Amino acid sequence: MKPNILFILVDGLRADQCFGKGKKSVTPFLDSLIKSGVYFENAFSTADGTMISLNCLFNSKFQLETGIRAKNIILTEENHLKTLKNSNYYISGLIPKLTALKPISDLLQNEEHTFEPGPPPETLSSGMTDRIKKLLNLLKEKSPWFCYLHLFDLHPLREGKLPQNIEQFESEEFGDNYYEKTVSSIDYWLKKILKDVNFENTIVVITSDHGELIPFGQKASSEFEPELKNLSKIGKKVLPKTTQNVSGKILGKIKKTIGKTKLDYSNKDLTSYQKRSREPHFTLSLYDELLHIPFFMKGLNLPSKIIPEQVSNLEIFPTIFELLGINYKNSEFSRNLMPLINNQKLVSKDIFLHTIPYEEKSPLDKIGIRTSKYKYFRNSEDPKKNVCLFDLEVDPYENCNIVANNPNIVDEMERKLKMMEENFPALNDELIEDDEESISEELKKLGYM
Amino acid sequence: MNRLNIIIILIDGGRIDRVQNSKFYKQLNSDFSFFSNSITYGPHTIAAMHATFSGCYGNRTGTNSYWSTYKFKKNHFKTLTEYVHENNYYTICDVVNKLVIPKQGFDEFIIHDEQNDDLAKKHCQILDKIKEKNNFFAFFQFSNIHTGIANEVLRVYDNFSEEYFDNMKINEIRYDKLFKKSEEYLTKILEKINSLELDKNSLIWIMSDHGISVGEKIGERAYGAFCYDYTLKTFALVKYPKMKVNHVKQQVRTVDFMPTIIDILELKLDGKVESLDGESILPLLNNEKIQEKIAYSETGNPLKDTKPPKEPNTRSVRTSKWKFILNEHNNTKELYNLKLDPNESNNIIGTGLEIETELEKKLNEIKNLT
Repeated sequence: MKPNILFILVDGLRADQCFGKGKKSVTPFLDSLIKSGVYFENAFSTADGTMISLNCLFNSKFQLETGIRAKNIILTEENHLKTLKNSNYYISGLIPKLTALKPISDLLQNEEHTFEPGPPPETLSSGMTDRIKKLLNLLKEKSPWFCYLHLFDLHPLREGKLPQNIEQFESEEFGDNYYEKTVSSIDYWLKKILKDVNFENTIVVITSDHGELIPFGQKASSEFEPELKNLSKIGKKVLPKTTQNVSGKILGKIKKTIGKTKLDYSNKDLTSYQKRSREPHFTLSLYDELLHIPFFMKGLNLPSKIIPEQVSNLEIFPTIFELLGINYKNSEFSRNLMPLINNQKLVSKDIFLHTIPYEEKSPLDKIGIRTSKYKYFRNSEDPKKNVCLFDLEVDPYENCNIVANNPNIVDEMERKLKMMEENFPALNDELIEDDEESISEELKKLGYM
Repeated sequence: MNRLNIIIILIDGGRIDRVQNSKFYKQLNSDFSFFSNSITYGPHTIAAMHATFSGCYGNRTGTNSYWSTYKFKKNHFKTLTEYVHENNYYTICDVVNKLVIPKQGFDEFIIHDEQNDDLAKKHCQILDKIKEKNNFFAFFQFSNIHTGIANEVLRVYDNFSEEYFDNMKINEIRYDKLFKKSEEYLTKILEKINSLELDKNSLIWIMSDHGISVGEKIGERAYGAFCYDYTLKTFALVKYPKMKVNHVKQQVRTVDFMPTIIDILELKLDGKVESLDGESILPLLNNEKIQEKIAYSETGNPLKDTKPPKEPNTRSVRTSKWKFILNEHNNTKELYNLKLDPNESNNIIGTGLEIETELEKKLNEIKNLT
């Protein structure tokens, strides 16, 4: 019988809160997984947001390769869920009830496979643990199964809200801030979920889609703006209704100006990394705090091992397939990581990065490359705009932009980006018509039409 | 590990009969082995070269028409470029268009300006640039024959233009003039290869992807509409250190080229991807015998339409003696005895020959493989 796969994705979980020196969360269960399984300490997502990251995960293709810039999941013809289904796996899961995730939802064979994304969302601490345990119980009859759990426990923080039902983790011993405390809570519930999992016939993967900002000193940029409640009340009483709209806007501007002045003052001695941490959530970013993700694997005969090499989320499924003996061809940009687990060497691969799409095209949209030594990114449209280069070996927090002194490295990175952009045409469903038009144009050039 | 560099030169649209009658090409036979009977999968570059690079027919890889470059199932089929790239080759190509060959595995994918570029000069410059790479794989498309035909035939006539089919002599002169350019091009490239001493550590593979009509059959002014030998029969000239020069007359298939190169380089085929339709024909180069294989070809006949169809509607299977053609667009069949009728002018379908049923069965078997 083929092994089962339990794939847990904790939305927004940062790698540095699971392992390493900077970790403040209390995660005895995750620590025990690292001791009894494989942990990739340098795993990176290709994007700073969920949908693009999942598109890369489930298709093992970079955005620049597929052209997928949609705000929803687009599963290509050769997506991994389909591969598992074709290998007779029962596909199940529990995912947020979001239209954007419908292509995954359509493939899940278990009933009631969605949960309310909120706000507030259903979380492990608010009853979802029981739902998951029931599902895992049901799956005992369905082997071999694949189960995808997409957890939203950290999502309230991203929306500027407080996490739900983590009272027992609110003391300082579980972290300095709500993010770290929530991670401590997640660890507690994961232990309960995995208690009855038989690791002899199940592979458990725990990872994330992207990182998150943890505001320095627990003060995000918005918190520097004065509330000016009294002024607002007075205005409403004194001013005629017809002018209240305009005066409200003026008040808003005043609040922002004061907030910015206070923020600038508070930031003046901070590093770039610390300053960035205070930016609003969903600020488009290709810094590691948004890309560095945990990647645990445990089960079957996997050894206990911490792997330092840089890997990407494109490589997670090919590794699972190799472990399961499912035929899958490594691509130029993704490969199975079993050689690393088996103490063999693999040539380091570049990771191509792209920020998530907004409704409107944003001037902050960026593309870039992460190598094991350098991070390079710049404006997605203009190679000369907002260019950043960091030496990750000496500057892991990306504080010092070294672009000015390294034109050769910039040229090399640009050559790689250009190659990706030029040679991988858009393939997603949304672009099929354009694609056909572009083929027609090429065939005309060749004289065939 | 230091392996042979690979230089593949595609003479796009090079006709085998012209090669056999050319003094220049004949001279090459003194140090190149010559495959004079290699059958292409697709009588147009896109399908032909995807099959060549993958060693598989397009009905399996997904690239079976002018339209299907992006349907190539790259997660299931591995190209020659990918094989050598993962063996640390620097991979570079210069081609006429982004559709013509699979892009997987290339470090540099260069597209030339077919109307203005001096291809010999450009490709020599590339050789200069990569000569120190250890190792490299270079693929050069000589597209001048195609460009001339596109400018002077494809854009001027349709597949039924009387003016074209009534003037075969003019068509031949036009083609020959273009073909002559391939000789000039190859002269310069081979001189460059020799001057850089790349012939001492490289596999040089000169080939064509399909032939081009000079007006043999009404309904096809150039290529890509029919499955007749004047477009299906191609050639290859092969040279590498320690190779014994040989003339291989036996029918081979262009899908055999990729596994042969893999064999020459002593690389292993990847068992985790789909199996190949082609097989190594290295034994033939070494004067050993292997059994002739049936060659499968298919294309999309546009008929009266101005653009090619998205799926093939004309298919053939070929042995060195017989050709069976299935025209799905009008549900007709053709059978030719190639030994007696190399011009395929006497259709002997329905004359009770056992081979007809046998080949039709074989065609359907291959066609339905996925």
